[in-house]
Amino acid sequence: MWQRLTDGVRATLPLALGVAPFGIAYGTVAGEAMMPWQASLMSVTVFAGTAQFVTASMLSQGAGHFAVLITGLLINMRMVLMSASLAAHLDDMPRVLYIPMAHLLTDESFAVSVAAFEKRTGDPLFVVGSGLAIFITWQMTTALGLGFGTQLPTGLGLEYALPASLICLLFLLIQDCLSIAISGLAALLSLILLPLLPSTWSPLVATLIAVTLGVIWKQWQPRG
Amino acid sequence: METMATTWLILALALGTFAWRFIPFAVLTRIELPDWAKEWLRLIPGAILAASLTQTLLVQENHINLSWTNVELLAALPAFLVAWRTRSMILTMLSGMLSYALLQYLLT
Repeated sequence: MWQRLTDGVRATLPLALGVAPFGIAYGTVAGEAMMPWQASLMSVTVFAGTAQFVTASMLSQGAGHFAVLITGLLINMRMVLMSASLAAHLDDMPRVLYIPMAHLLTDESFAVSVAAFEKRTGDPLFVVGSGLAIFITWQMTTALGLGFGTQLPTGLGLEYALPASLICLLFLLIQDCLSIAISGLAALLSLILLPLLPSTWSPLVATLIAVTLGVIWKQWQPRG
Repeated sequence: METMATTWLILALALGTFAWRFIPFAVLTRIELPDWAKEWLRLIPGAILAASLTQTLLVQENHINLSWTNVELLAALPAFLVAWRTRSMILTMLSGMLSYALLQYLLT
């Protein structure tokens, strides 16, 4: 049993190393938006990078909490896809394992676990181990970043760390033509909607319109 | 009390996020989502990020500010360049922070 758990941890270590800079970055910027312990609480309980960066950014700008919540939930909604795809690999597993498997699921551990299932070396404990490797890295690096953020003297542009981190995330998230076009449209719409909506809601409404239009447009394209 | 409200927000977001992760395990009925729904879910995070970043960089007090006084926007240009060339989180943050600090020093 331990063997399969540690197999999962070991297989995920290279990706955990890649997650480390993001954890440090999150810890550094989150201090601008909330109490350090709240930033850690979010890393433990929410445990989802993009949503954590975006909600921290909204909070630092004084956005209403309801808008922040809806935005975070929408960003994380795509996790349903990963869970569903993982659940399809597991027929007879102990039900207690559902909870750690669900909570520890990230893009990284999902990729490692699916690869393991395809090589027939995957099993629920492997998935939990894989998730744990990312989870522990995320908590340690969040704490490290919080340390950095609070130690850094003022005048070094720390208040700009948050927008800069979003700029990098944007480049990592949108890679294909369709997502670039839809994200551009969402950005444009959020400006057009500005006179009509409170500024915390306009990005959200703009996103829903742009993404829905994008999906409709793609459905109408002839299949080639 | 603001602190308290933020804590509740974090816990609510945590609960909802756990639901997204947990529901497919709980039902286990192999619902295969149609392609358009998968595409919709895939496109959401990037679009939110782009729209909310646009607000951060361009909008000040509910108005679009495209002038030289918008330090947030000016500092974004080197950060964009670094993010595009390196895809590195740490380098993007450092270049953004440095430009921002420098611009504030020069323009104020």
